Amino acid sequence: MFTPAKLIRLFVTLGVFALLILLIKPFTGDGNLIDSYPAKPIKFIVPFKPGGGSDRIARVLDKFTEAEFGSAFVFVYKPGGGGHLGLRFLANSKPDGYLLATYNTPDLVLGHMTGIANYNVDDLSILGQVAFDPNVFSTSLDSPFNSMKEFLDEARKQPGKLRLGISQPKGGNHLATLAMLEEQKIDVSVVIFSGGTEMASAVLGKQVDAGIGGLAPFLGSMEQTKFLAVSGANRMSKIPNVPTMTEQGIPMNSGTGRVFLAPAGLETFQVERLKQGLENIFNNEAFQEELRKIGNAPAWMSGDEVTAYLKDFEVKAQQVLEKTGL
Amino acid sequence: MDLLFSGFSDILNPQTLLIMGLAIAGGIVVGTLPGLSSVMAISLMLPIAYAFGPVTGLAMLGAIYTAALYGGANSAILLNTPGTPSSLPTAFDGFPLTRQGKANRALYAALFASVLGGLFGTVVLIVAFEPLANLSLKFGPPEFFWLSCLGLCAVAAISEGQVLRGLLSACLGLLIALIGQDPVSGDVRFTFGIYPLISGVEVIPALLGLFSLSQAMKILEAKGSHIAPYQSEPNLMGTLMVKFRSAWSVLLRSSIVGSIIGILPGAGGAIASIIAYNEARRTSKEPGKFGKGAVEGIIASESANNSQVSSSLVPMMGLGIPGNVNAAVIMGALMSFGIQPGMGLLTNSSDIAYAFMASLVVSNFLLLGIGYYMVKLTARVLLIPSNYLGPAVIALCIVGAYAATYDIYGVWVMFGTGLLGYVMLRVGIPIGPLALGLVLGPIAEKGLAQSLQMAESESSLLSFILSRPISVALILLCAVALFAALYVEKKTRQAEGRKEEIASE
Repeated sequence: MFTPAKLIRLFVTLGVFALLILLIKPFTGDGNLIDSYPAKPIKFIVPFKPGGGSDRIARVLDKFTEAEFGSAFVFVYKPGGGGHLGLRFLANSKPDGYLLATYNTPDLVLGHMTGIANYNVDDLSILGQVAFDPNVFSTSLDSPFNSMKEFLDEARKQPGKLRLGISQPKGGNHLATLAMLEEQKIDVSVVIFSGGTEMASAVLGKQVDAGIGGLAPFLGSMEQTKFLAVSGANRMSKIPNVPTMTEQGIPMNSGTGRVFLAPAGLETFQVERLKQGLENIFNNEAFQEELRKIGNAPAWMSGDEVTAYLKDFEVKAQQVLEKTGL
Repeated sequence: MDLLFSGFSDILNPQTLLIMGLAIAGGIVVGTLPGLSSVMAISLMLPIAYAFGPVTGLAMLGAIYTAALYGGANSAILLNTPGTPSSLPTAFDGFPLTRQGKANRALYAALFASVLGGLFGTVVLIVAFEPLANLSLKFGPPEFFWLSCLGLCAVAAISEGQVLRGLLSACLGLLIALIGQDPVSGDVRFTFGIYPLISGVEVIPALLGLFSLSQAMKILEAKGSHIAPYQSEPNLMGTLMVKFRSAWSVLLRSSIVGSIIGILPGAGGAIASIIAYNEARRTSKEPGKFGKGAVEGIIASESANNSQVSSSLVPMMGLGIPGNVNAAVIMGALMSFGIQPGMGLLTNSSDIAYAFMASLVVSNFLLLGIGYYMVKLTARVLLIPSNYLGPAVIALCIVGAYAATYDIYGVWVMFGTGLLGYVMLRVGIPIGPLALGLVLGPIAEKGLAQSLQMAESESSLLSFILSRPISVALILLCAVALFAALYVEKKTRQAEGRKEEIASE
């Protein structure tokens, strides 16, 4: 067992380690001056695992941050709770202007409505949106369906017999799909996946008859995928021949907005600097071109516009949540 | 073939080889240190990879991935602390060998098995990544469920002689794995109001606690001045050569298992090395030696572990669907260089694709050379007196747990599971099964829940499962694994009984 001498030695050694860590912790100036902000690299939270859609967009943005802000971001991955774990960390952090994050709409407000998130949205300040990616319905190339209308007609004939994959539980597309099925009075077997890539391999492997999620995970298998519909206001440039849901006579509009956030309570000059910087990067044609290449649809919205969009969404979503019991 | 040769000629220049060599050495260190993962190392090096350009940059990332997955074996063998879930079974036999003073034997066996397995996986990748990527799609949720069940069958094997305690431990692991968000409904369960638990009990801090912290406490309270005697064995290479020659079938089978499971998106290295380990034990002539220092156990675990490095890149390169987080980060790098992985890869960017695959071959040879010299340094850990080593391991646990979650919460998870592990060690309940439950539980649960959702469109669950041939095959394999474990258990008990009889006479 532990003798006193051993315990003392243990604590002394641990103490030495603690001291060493304190010594190497860099001395940081405050840098909170209007002209010099940002004076040191900004830490950037990706609230998902590395290599996902949000990470790729942030990495594209990061190619331009050095030119705009003087140094590249330092990436921190904090996955969990569909991203809300990382956002909670941001919301509860000290607002010093050196910690930012990326996240998605409408999940930003949806998490609170479904009880997954546990922080105050007002503790976050939205800097802007750089892309809005409509959801797409997809199936494998040899599927008998050629459009979402055909799929839904067949589903109406055989209630519960067709499988529809959804890329993420309690996300925006889950809600929108349930609302659409409810409105069309259609019964399908819904299978929930944990992310766009997982659902993409299920769609290609015919584990489900169709699936709804982002376009990006299919970019490497376009020759093997049939897209049934775009669940957005407009068609997408990568798949110009695929009609929207509305064109097919089924009202549905859902998608993922890629937004950047800071904790609320930053100095006004800091928020202005960050918002302006983000907009400058967005207005660079090279940035938009790179986004398109990785399968995203560049679309600028200011922080206030995003907030207004989310307010509007919240009211509509509340009704759907009550109806579908999600 | 010409493309592959030109790929090699792109890689074999002094600058690229130097960078890859450094990446290998760094990767081994990262893999060895408990808590630092290959994903962390690869994502940290991304900006540097961008600066080197596609060929050298990707070669560097591949080298780190290869070396870090091998490095996990070092800490598993020397300190009984698997830094990654995939080197879990390596500890089962590696640490007993260390206790017997045969650390060198275990370390070199792990290195050679890793390199051979790695080369096997890379050949699979080069020869057939396009058709294999499509094959991987045949695995759906039911198959993942049965695959993790097959992994869980190993509980019987690793808790030999105390199956009941092993099952208790595994159930505890599965129970802990339930904490967090329900995989399909998204509902939050069993978090007891502690919000960070929404993402579940994080595996890396939990493994650090269960194995490393509890081990460090055991090191500190032990009487001896060192963890284990360290001596060099005469003619070690000769002994290992004989071992590898007689265990070639274990090596081949484990590499095949590792390659197949590596291809499946989401299955991961943990299942691969556990199933390979269990298979090696099942087919061994002396299964009783497993868990007590069988070199075959290390060969099985490590060759499976490293053969899935390259094969985990198969769905990413063939379909643009990354099979694990490492592959996702490498895919992100490819896309940043303007290359879209997937079906058009060989037509649009064959030069870079082949250079990358060639670099994985080169990485394995570099790993052999650099690893060979680093083993001598790594083994010196055993020369550090326990009084210093114990606290150092605890400090590394704290740093690793924090780094894995970027939150103090990870450190609490590590301390909590560490205490649990220590109590279990004291009362004699094996920790391995708990770790298996913790790692495989979430995969099994998600597979089951999604299977049930899929089966709603069929007339019955049974007809749904029976309509899937791969599922049926996996169920049969589970049955074989279970019955084999019972048979082995009975045989060893009989053998022991006979020994006792002889002794009493």
